[in-house]
Amino acid sequence: MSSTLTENLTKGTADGAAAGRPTLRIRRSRKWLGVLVPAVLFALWAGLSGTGVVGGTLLPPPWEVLQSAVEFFTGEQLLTLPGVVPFAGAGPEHVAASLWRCLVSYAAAVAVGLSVGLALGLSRLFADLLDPVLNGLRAVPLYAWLPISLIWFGLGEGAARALIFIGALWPVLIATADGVGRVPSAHIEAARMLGVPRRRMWRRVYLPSALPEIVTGLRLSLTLAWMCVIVGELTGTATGVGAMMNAARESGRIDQIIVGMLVFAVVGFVADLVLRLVTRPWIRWSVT
Amino acid sequence: MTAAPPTELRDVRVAGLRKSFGDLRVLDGIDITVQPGESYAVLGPSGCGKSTLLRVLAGFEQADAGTVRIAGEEVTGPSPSHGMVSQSGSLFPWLTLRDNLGFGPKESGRTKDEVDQIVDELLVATGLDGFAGALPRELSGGMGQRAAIAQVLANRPPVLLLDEPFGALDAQTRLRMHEWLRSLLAGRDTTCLIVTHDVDEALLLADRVGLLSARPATVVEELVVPFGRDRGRRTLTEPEFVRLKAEVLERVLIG
Repeated sequence: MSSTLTENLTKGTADGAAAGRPTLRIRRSRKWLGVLVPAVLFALWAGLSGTGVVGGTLLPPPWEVLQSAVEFFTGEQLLTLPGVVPFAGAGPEHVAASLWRCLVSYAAAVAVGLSVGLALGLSRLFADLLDPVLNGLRAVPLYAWLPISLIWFGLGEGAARALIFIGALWPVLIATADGVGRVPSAHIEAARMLGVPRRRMWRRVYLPSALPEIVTGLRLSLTLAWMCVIVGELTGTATGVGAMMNAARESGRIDQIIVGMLVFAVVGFVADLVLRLVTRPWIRWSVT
Repeated sequence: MTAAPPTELRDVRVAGLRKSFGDLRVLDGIDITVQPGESYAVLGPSGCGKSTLLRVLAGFEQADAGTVRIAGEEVTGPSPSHGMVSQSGSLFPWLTLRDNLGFGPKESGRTKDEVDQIVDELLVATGLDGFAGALPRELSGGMGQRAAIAQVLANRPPVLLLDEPFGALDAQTRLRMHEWLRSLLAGRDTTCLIVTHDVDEALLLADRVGLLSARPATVVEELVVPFGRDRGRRTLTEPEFVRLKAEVLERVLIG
């Protein structure tokens, strides 16, 4: 936020060819500052673990976490008893399980959110009928859906999928309805004049015009879906990064828990990055 | 798309057109007949209802009374047969120039080859053949308006409706646009009805000019523009043009 502000100020006051240089310098120095704070925190963590002030079982030193991370992804898989969640070498398997769980529910949420959002944005009648219900449902905090999901869909897999679906549904639904409702009437008139019949209007005008908003909704939905994965998995799935973390909690392995947290952060970041790259060409026209 | 109507049917007949918004009477019995292939300018003071008139002709607004027949058919709604271009154009910002120009033809079910052929021809006619892949926001104001006109012409409409199409452009660009539009229409038998408050524009582009009164608007006078089809920047300084312009301005300002 603050870097954008600085950028605008620089652009606004400077003129001509000189405008580019100060903006660039400010940007670079800010990126460097952004690395500084994590580095200091990390050094603090490492230093304190070394002296034993924090260390022990509550906060293992960073190298132990790193070791566990390596073990998680490249370690030799040991035979485990049924019902025991494996750790060593099971990283890829767990990540794949979590991702798959997330994507299945996300896809369903996007399908429902897009269709209902389109219908809400296109039809006054539909909006009048559904708005109160949707606003009511949306007011229910996300994790307040958990108890009823557990009963309806069962511990673990079912509850996880239901929760991810609900979490991912709202952003894309609301963004679609908003975007479609805000299509300039000039575009609609132009399309009618150019011969687009009503039944094709959603595909030729409403959807493409609302795409920038929809993409924002898609990204937010994915973030929320990924957040719900951990909650769903903590209720007791057999696989998944969350399942591993649950098992690590039971055996008191904080290093493994931290590995799980890091994996969630990295995978979430990469997933958002991929989505951004995929959708960028669709909204190139609106990006300034 | 239905076959284009024969040339003799490319006319516009407006009879007894009335339109009010609530208590505000905007159009008060408009009668205009535009001959096939003719360019007709409706000239009137700002806020006299010119744009409302064109929106009724384009089918975006319903008249309270009177009839509009374009190419022999009564106007009941917007249609590719009488496309309108407004001051801000109607290009879709998410489509490239090529896709914008091909929008109408594609919608009417033409094959890809046909669409490409129509678009290529229009890209040349608008002098935008180097910008096929550009987005509308990457075009200058003048280029954008040429493209907007081409987008409507791509449907081969018998009648083209223009609502202050160059109103947002600077004076020099506007003059260049006038010369361009004249040459573009000279090669076609498209009937053109243009609404404007710019006397130069009306006298440069139209074969006949209808003067509108202040609101509620009626056509108070029609005059034939005595210049040939070959008009351009030089016409602007001809004594006959200057005299006519002064006369028209006087009447428009009196209302």
